[in-house]
Amino acid sequence: MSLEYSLNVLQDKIKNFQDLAKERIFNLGKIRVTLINPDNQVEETKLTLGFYYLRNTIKEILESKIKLKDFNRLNQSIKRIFQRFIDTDELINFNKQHDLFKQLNENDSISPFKLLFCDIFHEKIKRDVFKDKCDKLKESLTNFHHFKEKFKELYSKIQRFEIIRDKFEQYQKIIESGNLKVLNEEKLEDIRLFRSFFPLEAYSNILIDIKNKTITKI
Amino acid sequence: MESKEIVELITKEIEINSFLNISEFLQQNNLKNIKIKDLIKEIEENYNSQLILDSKNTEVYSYELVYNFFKLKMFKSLETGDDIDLSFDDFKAFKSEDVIRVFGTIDSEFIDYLMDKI
Repeated sequence: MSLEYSLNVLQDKIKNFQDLAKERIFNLGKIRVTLINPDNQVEETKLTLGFYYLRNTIKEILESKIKLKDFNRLNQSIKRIFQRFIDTDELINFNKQHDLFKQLNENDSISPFKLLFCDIFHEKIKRDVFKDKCDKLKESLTNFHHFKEKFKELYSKIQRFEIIRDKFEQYQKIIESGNLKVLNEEKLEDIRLFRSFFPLEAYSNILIDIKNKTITKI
Repeated sequence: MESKEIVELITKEIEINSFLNISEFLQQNNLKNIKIKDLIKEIEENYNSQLILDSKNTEVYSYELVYNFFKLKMFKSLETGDDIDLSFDDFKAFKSEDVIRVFGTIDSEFIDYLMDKI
């Protein structure tokens, strides 16, 4: 995936978005957005013209050597358009009185943590298990070196979960059946990981004895 | 061992640990007489959708790690209304072209998301 490819895709997305927005929202031209020009001058314009500006800016960037400072200005303008849409209730149904960061993260179409919001987590797993980890990740956003450590911790747990995910229903059935013989035939670490996704009170009759590498009933 | 094979090993390690220091990784795995310059070239040319090098070519990050850092930064900026300045220290750990590339991808995804909402 090259830099030029990413910018071309972005330009196409903006074009499609512009066409769709013009088609569906008649009063789009009434909304004004602030754009940052390459000469650092700020310009207020109609939202519809804002899209033309973004597309043209990307074209210019693609034709010359791409510099971070130019993209920085482009991205600030894109962000203002995102912001304008989020601010406009009739366009996007966001309630800004609530935690927008949380709302965005809980949206399974754009969240970086899509897995946490998939059905299996929604229905069966205590999401609070991850709440602290997600909060710490959010708090560490000001420092990449802290962030990467927190991310590693959370991501490795999610990755391990992905590996046992296919066996999820099977583990649940075995634990609920109380058949210790079958349960002890499974990998102890996997059962332990599976168990960690549930609230403490769930399956509290099952004791995983790490020292003796056995699973027993209390 | 060829550069490609070593980068494959790096990719496997990154899948679990999200980032690593190249020199330390080579040392820990007893990989001697390896030209780091060749590894960098291999990563940049053939693995840039999975791996991202830091600005000094000393550490390798998973694409997921950098993507999530940038995306959460963007979410945060939408929440606070503040602009993200990509020239700030927060982004100095990365090469400019990677910052542009990953942000371009995130912007595209967000525009797709807005398209569903209008």
